[in-house]
Amino acid sequence: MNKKFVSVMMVVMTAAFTSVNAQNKTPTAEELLAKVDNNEVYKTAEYDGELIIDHNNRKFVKTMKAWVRDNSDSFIEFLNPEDKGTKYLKKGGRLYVYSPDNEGVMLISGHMLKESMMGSDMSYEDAVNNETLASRYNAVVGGTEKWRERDAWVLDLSAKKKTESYPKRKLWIDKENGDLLHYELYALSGAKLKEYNLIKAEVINGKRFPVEVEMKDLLRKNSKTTMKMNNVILDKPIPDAVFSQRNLER
Amino acid sequence: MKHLVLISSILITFALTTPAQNKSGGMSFSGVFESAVSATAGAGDAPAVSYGIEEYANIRMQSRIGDNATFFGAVNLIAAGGNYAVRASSLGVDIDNGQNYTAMIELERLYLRLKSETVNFDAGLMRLPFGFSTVWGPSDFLNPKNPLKPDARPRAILGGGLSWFPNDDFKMQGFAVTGRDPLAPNSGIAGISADRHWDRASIQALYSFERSENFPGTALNPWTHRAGLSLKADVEIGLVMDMLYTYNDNIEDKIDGLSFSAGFDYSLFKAKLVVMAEYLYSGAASSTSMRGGGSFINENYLYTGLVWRFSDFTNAGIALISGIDDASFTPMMTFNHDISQGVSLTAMAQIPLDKDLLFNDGNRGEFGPTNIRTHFYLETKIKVRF
Repeated sequence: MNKKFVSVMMVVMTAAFTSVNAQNKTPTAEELLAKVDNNEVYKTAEYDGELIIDHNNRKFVKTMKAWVRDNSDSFIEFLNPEDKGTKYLKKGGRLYVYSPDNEGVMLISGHMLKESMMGSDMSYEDAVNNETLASRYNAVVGGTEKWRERDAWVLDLSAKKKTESYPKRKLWIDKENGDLLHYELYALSGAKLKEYNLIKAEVINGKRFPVEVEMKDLLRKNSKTTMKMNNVILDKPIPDAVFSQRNLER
Repeated sequence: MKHLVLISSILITFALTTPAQNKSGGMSFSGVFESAVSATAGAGDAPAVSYGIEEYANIRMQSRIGDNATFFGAVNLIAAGGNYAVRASSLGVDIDNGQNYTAMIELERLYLRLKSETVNFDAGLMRLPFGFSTVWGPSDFLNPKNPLKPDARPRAILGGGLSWFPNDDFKMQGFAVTGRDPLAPNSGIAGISADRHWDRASIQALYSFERSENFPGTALNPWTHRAGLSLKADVEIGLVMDMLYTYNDNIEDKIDGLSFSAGFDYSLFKAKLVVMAEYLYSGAASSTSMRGGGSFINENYLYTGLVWRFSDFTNAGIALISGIDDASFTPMMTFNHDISQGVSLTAMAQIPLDKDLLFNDGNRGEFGPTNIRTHFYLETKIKVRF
């Protein structure tokens, strides 16, 4: 789920929740979590993205071109004038950024992972984890609820390791089409830290794809980040060279 | 000045005419504009109070030529008055005096990159960085760093480099650049470096040699050799070690050729507070020393800094740049705020201190007011990205 948003934003997270079909009976927590994990059904995705950050009555709009592969590799190039030339490469579990100001590539790691990505409601940390939710969390079905007029399964997750950034998560999964409609991220204390909402999904190449989503960092007052994806192309081969450090410096 | 205007005109003309020929993306422009004002309470022979204003634009151009070549160019356009104009004049920068301002144009970048599957070739006026240190930069001997000037753009150097990428985690680079004196036809610097990256660590090894008749005072032997090693590790805490050893027959005490830095950075309170420190040993003839092309005259220095992030758009910091040998210090306060998209406000203040200022004992330090000619310096800047 967190991975979903990453897919969406970093292109590393392919954010495809299409393969989940409507269920007539109550699925197990493991089945639901497997569906969420398996939603990265695309080999590749390529799109033009728009990142809209609303923060304290100020709006920041960033445009980008993004490429994603196998949910582990992604490359983003920002195109809006203020950030032009800034590029991100996620390869495996590593995240690199190229800044045109200092003309250098920097590995984002350690404490820097906790910082906001390009001023958005998403942290770098949200973008780098490649492991499946099933491998990181224990899940229980929390029942069914309506989420914005949609019938959804509710899944409660608790981290297997103490080192998880978000020890608890709660997911709302569309009963009919398997879309991840909404999720919430919690601290160990139970405080809600972040919220994700699916705004719009479209069928592309016969698969459902989230083309507009939003994330709210609840520790930031009056803030949300909306991600829109246009001209989405799925499963088109992308050369290896796209996902390379050399491409950052090109 | 005129020749720079000519170069800039050619660059811009090239930029404006190239897109039609360019099948891979055309010429793109980006840049930064800064409007700065400053006030200084002078020390030593400097005026007691002075002011300055500067308008600065860094304009970058890039054009992809086919699939395997890219052209890069950048110029700095500067109009200055007061403090800033005096400083530029004292540096011997090529300036043009207008009615009430001084104008400067600097050619900052001008190079071409050719690339194949595993090899890049760069030639021209370009950035050639070395090492992972972000404060003192002992390895980055072609672009000496100075924490007193944190906003300085990395300096370019004229030359060429051939980089080989056998895989994404490994890079070997050979380079050859002109010497520090462009009018010395028999000087130059060449070398080789290797970079290796792992998940949480990176290492760089460097060797270079330089032929120069006058650096660093090489009357007997014009050859200077440099060997460097830089390490960076991220294990929750960020660690960096950077060193460069300079060898020349004329360096009497061989330890004088060593420049070594080590430091860390760490964040607390969910990354709201960032703490960093970096120590520097700067041998008297090393890359960071004034004699060796750097900025410093003593041997032991310490940078300590804190940055508090009020939000993802506003932060304030305080840094203390310390000369340990002569007990001189320059505290530096900074404030940054993103006003709107692409527009930010920066304020920075420096207060040089030394023992003479505190005890009036005549011990004037390197970072003290007399040497820096400043009791207090305040600068505010509006920065616009475009």
